Amino acid sequence: MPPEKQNIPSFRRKKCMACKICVDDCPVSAITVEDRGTPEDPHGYPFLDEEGLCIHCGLCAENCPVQAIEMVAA
Amino acid sequence: MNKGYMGKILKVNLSTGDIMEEDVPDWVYERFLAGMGLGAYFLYRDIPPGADPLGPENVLGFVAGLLTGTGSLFTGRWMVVGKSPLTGGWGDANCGGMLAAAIKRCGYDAVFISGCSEYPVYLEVNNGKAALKDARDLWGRDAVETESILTQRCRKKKVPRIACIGPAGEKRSLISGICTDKGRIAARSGLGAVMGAKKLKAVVFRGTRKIKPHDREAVHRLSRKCNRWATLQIPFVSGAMMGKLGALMRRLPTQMAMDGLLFKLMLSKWGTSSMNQMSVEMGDSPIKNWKGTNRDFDQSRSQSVNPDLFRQCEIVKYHCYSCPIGCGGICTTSGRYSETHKPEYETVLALGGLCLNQDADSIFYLNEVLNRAGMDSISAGGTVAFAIECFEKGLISKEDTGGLELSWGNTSAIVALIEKMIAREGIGDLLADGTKAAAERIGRDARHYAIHAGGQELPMHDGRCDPGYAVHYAVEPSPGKHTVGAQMYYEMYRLWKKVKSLPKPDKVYFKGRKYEADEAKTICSAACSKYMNVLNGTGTCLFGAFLGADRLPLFDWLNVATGWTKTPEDYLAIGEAVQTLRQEFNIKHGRDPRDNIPGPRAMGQPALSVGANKGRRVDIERMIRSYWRHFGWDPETGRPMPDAIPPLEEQIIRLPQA
Repeated sequence: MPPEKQNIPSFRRKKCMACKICVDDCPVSAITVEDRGTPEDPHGYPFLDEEGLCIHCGLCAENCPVQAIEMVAA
Repeated sequence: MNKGYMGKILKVNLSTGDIMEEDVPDWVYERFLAGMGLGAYFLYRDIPPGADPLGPENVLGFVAGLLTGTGSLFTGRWMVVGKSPLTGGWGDANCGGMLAAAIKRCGYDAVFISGCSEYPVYLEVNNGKAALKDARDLWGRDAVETESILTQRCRKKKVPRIACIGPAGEKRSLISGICTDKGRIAARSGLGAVMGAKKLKAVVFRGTRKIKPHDREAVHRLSRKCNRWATLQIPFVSGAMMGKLGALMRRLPTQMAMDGLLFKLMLSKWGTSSMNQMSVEMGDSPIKNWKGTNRDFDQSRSQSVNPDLFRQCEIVKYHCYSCPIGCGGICTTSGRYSETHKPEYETVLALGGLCLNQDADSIFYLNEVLNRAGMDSISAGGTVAFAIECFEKGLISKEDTGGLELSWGNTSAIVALIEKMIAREGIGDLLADGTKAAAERIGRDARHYAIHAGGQELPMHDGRCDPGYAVHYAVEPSPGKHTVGAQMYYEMYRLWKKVKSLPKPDKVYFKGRKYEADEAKTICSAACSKYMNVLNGTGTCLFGAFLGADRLPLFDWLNVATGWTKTPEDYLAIGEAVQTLRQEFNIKHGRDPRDNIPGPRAMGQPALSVGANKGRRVDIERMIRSYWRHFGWDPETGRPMPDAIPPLEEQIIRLPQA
């Protein structure tokens, strides 16, 4: 597979709203949210649950309203 | 052409097993949007007059919003619609979580379910396909267990999203709801009983279809702008100060028009539990079955449910789909359940101040019990308070209660009573259908202690403090709901920023003015109703709407998502059409709108003699007549007059019945 097709999402926490649009957008549910916050930041942010699940479609990055997801080389 | 909606609904008949799709023409969305409006259109068309709400002719609808999944924010709400067994008329319940987008990803804007199955089933829906599956092994399981099992059973790659009933719905409790995401619930109108009567245990959505707005980049630009307001956060007072703030506001003869940004700060920090003490002190919270006051649940007692306690238990914030605030939370608890969704203000006060229960542990426990059972916590608390007052007045005895001493603040009795209601055991069977049904069975003076609107228990917002609540409790086609309008809500909606003809509230005003039944108030109430139908047609959260129409770009989102060029006035006209259609549904099904007017106690007749709402009376008759007149309905009866119905709705009303 060409390198650009192997890109996976990188989540930019500072921009992220933790709104779970990407969680729903992912057709294979490869993205989930943290189940614990911290005292400084109680929100649960998205992360790639299993890299192997990702199908590199880029829908999460495309559909993030605040451009908090970037597709980067695995 | 991409317009943000899917253009199809799924129709399922549980009696015959038939499953089919129906294309929905563009004009239906242009006239009614999706969500509530789509539900109103199909339910008006497809439920025949006289249909038994618990019978096969009732249609249960799961509806997603037009904006859901288009890239807008705060648009993750879905609704259940149907003929309510609790009120006998239009029923709807609204919920968050992740289900709204999941419905559309299956290729549908809504799923409508008629008939009754011979045995328990669940409906599994994915990309343009659906099947009924045996649910006999799930019947009897609580909503959280059911969801866990079905998530594992039905997962292919995509995690399914599930709506299900718990034991309360299975046992057809008229105060049961429909659950999702292990702690969110579409609770009101008793629609859980409709699902139980249909022997439909769950609906599973597992789709991956794309949701395509007309111009996603334009939607996103608006979302980024909106997000700047949503993520605004400045240091705020402590939880302990919130009660004191409420006490100060109570003492002042004037009040300020509320800006929703302040409420957003509260939601971001604590969620709705921010109001737990403040609302009591201000007189917003009804106390002791609506006959008490803030003095009966003063700060020394309400301290037990102060907002900081809830924040301390919270291990992570909970966001509904597409929400940047995250007012929910997951909390650790001690006892039988290790975790629960953070109890909302409504739950805390219904199980707390309404029953004079100051035991926070019991509230956390009952929150999880009710979520798992799938029972409405507002109605559960209201029914318990009713039962306590009946016991106090000697209308029910210890023999009736199976030995339970029902007294104000008796935590163990309150917990035991709710468990009996869920199981329909002993007196729980009498109470499981809410206060109106229980009062009718008890007889004598019991009806005076049943505080409801048309059968739906009143929420934890007192019309004697904000008469706008009282108006909407009475006039909404689905009565007794606090999620449509109030004078404070109009202030926060800031609709005058977009619709120049609407009145702008004064920044500061004397409190007495709230009780004057003037024309401006009617215009504001009507605007709230119309706007809420637009919000519910788009899947937009009430708390997003509280940011204000100049900060939540709802009308702009609609235009760029669909390609339409409608004005805010056009959208409010749609809201008005949906309101009339829902009211016509009630008339068609033999409901008398006057039956939705709450009884005198909640209206301040007689007025309380002490406390935050001392001397306050709601001129409800005049306010209702004025509201009905504004909509072109008969001010004496609430029936839409012929002129109220634009030609298209008339065609719908005259459609041959399906």
